Amino acid sequence: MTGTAEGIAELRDVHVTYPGRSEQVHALRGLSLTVRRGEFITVMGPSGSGKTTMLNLIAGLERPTSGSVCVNGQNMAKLNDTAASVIRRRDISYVFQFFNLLPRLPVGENVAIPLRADGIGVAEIRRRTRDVLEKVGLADRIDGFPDELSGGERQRVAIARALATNAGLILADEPTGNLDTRRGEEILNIFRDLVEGESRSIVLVTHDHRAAAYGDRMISLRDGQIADEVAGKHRGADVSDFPGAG
Amino acid sequence: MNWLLRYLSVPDLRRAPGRYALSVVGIAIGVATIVATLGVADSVVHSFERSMATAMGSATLRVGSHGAGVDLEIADELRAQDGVRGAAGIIHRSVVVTGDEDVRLTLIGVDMVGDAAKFSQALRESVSIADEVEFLGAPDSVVVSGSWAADEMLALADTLTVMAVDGPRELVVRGVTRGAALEAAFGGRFLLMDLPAAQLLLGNGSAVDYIDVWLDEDAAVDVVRTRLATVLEGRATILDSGELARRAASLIFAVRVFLMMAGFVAVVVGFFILYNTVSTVLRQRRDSIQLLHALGTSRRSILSWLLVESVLIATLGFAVGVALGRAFASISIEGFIATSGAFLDQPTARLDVQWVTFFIAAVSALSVAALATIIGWKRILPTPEQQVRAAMASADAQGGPNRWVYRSAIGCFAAVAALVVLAPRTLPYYPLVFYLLTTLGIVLFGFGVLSPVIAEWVGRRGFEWAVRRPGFPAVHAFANVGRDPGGLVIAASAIVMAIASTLAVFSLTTSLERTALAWIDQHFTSDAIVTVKGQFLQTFTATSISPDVLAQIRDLDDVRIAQGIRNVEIEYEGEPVLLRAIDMVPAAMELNEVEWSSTEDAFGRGRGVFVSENLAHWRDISVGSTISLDAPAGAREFTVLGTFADYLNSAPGVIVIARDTYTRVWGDSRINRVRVWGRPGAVALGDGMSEVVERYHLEVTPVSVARASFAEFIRGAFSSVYAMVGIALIVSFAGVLNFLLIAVADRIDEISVLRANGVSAYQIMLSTMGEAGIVGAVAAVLGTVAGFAASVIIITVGVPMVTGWFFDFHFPLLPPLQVFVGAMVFAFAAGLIPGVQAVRLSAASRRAG
Repeated sequence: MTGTAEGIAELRDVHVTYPGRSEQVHALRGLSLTVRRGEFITVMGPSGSGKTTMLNLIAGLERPTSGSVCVNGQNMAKLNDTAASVIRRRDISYVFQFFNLLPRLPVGENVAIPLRADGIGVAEIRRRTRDVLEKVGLADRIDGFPDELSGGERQRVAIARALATNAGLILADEPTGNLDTRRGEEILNIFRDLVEGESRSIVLVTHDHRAAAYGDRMISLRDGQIADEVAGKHRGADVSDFPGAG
Repeated sequence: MNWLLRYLSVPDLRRAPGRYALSVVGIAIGVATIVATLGVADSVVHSFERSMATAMGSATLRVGSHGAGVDLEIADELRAQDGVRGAAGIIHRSVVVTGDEDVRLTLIGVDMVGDAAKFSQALRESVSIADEVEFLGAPDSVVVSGSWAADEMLALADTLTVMAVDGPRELVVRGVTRGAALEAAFGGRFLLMDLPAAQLLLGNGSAVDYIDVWLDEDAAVDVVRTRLATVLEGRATILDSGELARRAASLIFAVRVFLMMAGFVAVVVGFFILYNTVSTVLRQRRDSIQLLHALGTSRRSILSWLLVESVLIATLGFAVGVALGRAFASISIEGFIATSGAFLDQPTARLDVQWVTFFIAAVSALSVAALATIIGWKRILPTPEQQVRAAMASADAQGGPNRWVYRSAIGCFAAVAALVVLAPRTLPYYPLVFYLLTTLGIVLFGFGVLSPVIAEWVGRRGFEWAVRRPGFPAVHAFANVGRDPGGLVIAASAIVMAIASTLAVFSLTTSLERTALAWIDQHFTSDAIVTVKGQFLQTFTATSISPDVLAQIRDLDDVRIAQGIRNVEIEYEGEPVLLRAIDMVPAAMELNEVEWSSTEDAFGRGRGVFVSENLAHWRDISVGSTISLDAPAGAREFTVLGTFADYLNSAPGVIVIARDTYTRVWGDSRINRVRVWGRPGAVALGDGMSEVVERYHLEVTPVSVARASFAEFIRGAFSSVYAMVGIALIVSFAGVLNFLLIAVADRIDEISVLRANGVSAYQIMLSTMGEAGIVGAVAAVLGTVAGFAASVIIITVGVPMVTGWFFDFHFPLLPPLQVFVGAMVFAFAAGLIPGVQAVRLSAASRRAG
């Protein structure tokens, strides 16, 4: 895994503008952020503040109107689709709130998506898939289908996918928003363990102040800019007075 | 509802014009398929029927023995009967007008000062003759149809050369028709002559082709008809207009049956295309529709809005489809006219689409659009009860997947087996069409029902294969097909139908061609055949040749044997058949059950006849039975000495008689063709005969060329097969395209996950195209199997019922392979568009937040 000394992902003075019907919509206005290796950043903010756009930029799924977005030292805006896809499958893992798994693929193959896309051999895919599903406690569900899993189990499969690729950076867009408190905490603890045990970096977008408190650093976005940033008091600290919380 | 159209449909149209354009194109293809196929059928059948009906004009009865003609003196006898107002002899023949390119026109000969002119309003009103005295006085006078004169820039006093019985004859234009009555009857391509001049031109002597009879207004038709029959004593037959139309229909029986079946396939395939297209548009807007409902718009209002929108789209698609269909029909009609022209005096290849065809196309477009809208609406906005029922059905399906599918398929195939075993010898037109459509429809339905099960099986096996290999697209493509086969039912069924029907026609063509060519090799033992130019394939409608020609050919040094042949249409048990009179020559005729040598003597002495195997099959005639034929001097009985195959004549059947007997009994010594055997060492018979050939505007066709022309004729007769291939490929493309557009629209979230997990745009596109290829392959395989089954039924059951012929079954390998590969390539290519669309749907669709 390569990267700059400062961070695995760096956003510098990023602006994102969408054409609107009457006037342009500014999703991000000069956002700068560095995600350091082994750092757990939680991002809060009201709807439309630019949280998801920020994640999409880091993943190379969108391009900034101006500014730069680098992952492991590579400017995502200047990469073609194939090169950006290679980074997404090797260095980044994305976990969504609702729809993480392909319903027509069994659990094992859902985990294997980035590995297959990367052309990894079948034996290696099987080994890694089994290992990571064991880690998240779902080894016995490897041949099951997503509609046979609970919400929490589905999120754990998505996390297993992140583990399978050894991605250094996990982007999570409200991964606990669809879960009850206990299952949400389970997922957040897995994330926390990944940061502390494996030095992975996580950027987690959430509306839940309790989830936000799991981060090393908490960022509040408002109108496409960082409105506030504080050091986290992870594992359940009270951050209800933080801007954007609740 | 208006506000929905105004504030949702119109902006939607502006935002996504491509989607609406696709709908219009899809519906247009469906409508065009229907209009083109039924349009050709309309043109061939109705133009002939109308021609017959209009030609009869105001006459109540028609008296004739066809081909050999009736003596004009009979008209005087008929006119003298009570209840008869008038009787007029008519010449009605096809003639060739020579020029840079020979043209066939209908020649009508009527007594311009007799009863026909008196009682036929169309004749009185349509004909304009500059100098009637000159017209009647000169035997070279002719009136030409107004439209043809305009096309050929013919004016009064211009000349044209017509093939007469004794060679080319120059005629002078002394009149032109006007108005629409006669133009409509003969498709604008006809000549009109005074009766004696026409008789002279065609060497008819005192015979006419038929006599039209007008009755007194208060006369009872049945009573007068009985009276006339008594007077005629079997010298001629009497037909009314209904019988005439029925007779016309029977002459093109096989053509009508096959066109009707092609029309049925077109309607079904069109139905699938229409349904698929409308469903696609609806499914693509599922989110908007569900949102509207959530915001308080009632299900009924939403349905009304969607129905109005669908009907508007369908109407536009219908208009475009009609134009497209007419264009397709215009292109393919030539082939059909060329085919039927061998048996009928087909006036023209003018496209003549009936209103009922437009009606069927319009009803199909609108009803299918409405049906697809209602079904889609129910799926998108189910009532709570429907949701519960769907959930219960889904739970039931878990216990016995596809059981009902297997049962349905087995039921279909059992029903087909029963229909085949119980197949009658033949049936009248409508029951026959119903029987064949039912049998073939059940076969195709059976395979259509099986398509999702097979697709599921292929998907699951393919998935098992793909997961054992690296790479993502194959795993994803097979998983999608294996886990959700129901979505492709409509697309796959349409492809199965289109491919199966195409292959069935291919098989039919090949079987006919191979069987018939083998027959030609066996039966065409002469070196060459002499006919009027361009009439090698003409039978009923061939121009008559003077017997002098036969004598002159026999006198040539190079000629060893010359056999004169006369083909005329006569009645047998109330139906038209072809009577073929042949000279006795030292050349054996190939017979089915008996040797020529054992029957030659009886045949030559006029004691017996041979009948074609199709006539024997239909009428249950066997060797040794006796048949009765109407002749000018009354009915004559003949013993059936043997049967023979004849693949040049279908529906009517053929009776072969010795020409000496024919000339004696029917009083007609003319011929239509001459079979020629050259002396050993004679190099080119045509060269030796050049003087005769030129004088009588004939052509000499070597048997090798005849064989090739016949093969070409068969291919031409089935030229529509190539249009069907095109339709099959378009269906493959449109079906898969629509299916995948729906699938991609349904999988936005899925594609977002793939993109976010590093699956490249190229890999997603490959996966989508792979899925298209799998659907195409499954449907192509099923279509091929269904096509094979349909071919077996058509050739072993359908063809004998329709034509009386028995073909050797051939299922060509190359054309099915080409259609198979073509369908797959088209399906695969169809995946490109949804593939590109899938690529555009990146994780950016989750832009909120």
